[in-house]
Amino acid sequence: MHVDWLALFKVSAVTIGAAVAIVGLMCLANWFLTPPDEAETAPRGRRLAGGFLIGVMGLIIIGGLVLIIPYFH
Amino acid sequence: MPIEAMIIIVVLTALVFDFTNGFHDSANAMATAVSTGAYKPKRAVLLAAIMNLVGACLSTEVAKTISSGIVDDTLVTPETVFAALVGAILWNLFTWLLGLPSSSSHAMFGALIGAVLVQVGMVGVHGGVVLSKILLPALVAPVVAGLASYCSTRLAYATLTTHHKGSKKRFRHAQQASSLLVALAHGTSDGQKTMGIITLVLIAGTLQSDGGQQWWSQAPGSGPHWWVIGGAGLAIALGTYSGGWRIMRTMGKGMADIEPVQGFAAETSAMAAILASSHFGFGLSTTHVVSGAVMGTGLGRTPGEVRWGTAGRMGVGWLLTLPAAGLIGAGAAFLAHQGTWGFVAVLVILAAAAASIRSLAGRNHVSPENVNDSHEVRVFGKATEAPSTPPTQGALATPLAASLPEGITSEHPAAATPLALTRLKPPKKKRRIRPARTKG
Repeated sequence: MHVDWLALFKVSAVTIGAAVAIVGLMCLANWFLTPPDEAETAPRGRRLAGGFLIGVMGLIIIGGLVLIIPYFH
Repeated sequence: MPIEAMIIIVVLTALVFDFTNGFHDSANAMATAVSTGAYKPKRAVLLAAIMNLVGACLSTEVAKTISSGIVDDTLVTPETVFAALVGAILWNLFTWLLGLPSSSSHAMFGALIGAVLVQVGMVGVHGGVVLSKILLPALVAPVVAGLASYCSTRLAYATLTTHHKGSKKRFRHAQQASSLLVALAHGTSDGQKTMGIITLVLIAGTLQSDGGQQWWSQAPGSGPHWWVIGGAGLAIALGTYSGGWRIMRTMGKGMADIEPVQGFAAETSAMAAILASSHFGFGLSTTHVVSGAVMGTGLGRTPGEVRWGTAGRMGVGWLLTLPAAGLIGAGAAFLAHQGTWGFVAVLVILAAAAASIRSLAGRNHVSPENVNDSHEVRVFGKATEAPSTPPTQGALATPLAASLPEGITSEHPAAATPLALTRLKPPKKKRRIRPARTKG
């Protein structure tokens, strides 16, 4: 029986790395978008930073999907 | 039996399997989203159905590698595939009745192995491939997804200092997107598996027929017909839309009470695991991955909240899937190879068993309206009702201190858990006043 342990390790590393990166970016974006005090909305600068981070997160997910396309096609 | 009639019956059975696969696995993508309220139940299954349909029609690469070398494809006949499908359908229905999220792909592989063993013996089964491609990934997948989910949940709760209303809303939106992607990934892998099965039957039927070109004829090595792609995509989408609420309850409420942050972490981890494993050529079960991720996120917030009883039942279900589906597949193959009467007998048994399971499920019906009302699925007896809102981390102290019994301060060790309090002060029994008896 041949088991590709290196590939298994890569799957584990990529899974944990990607999940922590995406959730981490979302948490950071949420921190920027949450108003510091009792205010209704966060200041403009924080909102921009939060939006940028959500954009980066979206790009990582789309990148992941593009990565998978060679397997499906 | 004429080969054309057999082909039609096997193709229809494959579409029924695809339907059961859809409703069995719709929970994979949507259970956490439904339990956290990110989606309303009916909208969740509608969106999952659409994404499954899109995923199934995305390409046909997975369909070409259906048996993945687990059995010798050249020995497979329409009867073998029919028996394997019957085994997988019955195991899917049985686990659905119990509300157990088990892998439909493993059920299919187990039944196929059982059917081939009866037909040609051990020669037809590639043991090494079974170990490396099914058993090992089945062990690794939930652990990796659970670990990823655990780490991301810890990270999320470490950064969430306040429970701002907007945060919950944002994570709900994020969870909506991640669950749609999991549904897409499911359609891409599982929808195409049925296309592969049908294609396999059509090729086997073409080789067995006298050589005349039929509307269903298919040359070895060619891709699936357009009607196979459309039919399989529609079957899995319809199955997904029909819900599978029993499994959705177990997956969304049974293992742990989760919040939108946890739902997002679990779905993201599951999505990352599915995409990474597909890229590296491991065919993981989405059920195993999502179950592991939900358990990991439960452990990441409060370890005591994971219901290990439910997790243990699921583990037993996973262990039994291959041998149990294999046994049913072997029995069905034995009958189907006896001739027309055996083939018809298998069909009758399948219909009778499906009707019985459906009838049993009706005793404790789980629907979109009551899917979140309990955290357990029962066949007999009444399921325990779940609390209306899941407890949140750190939110227990205030209401608890306010409701402490006299003489017990918040520092008292007994005040640590709400359960202990109920033990300290049991509710007083009401005295029944009996009406006075009148003489005469």
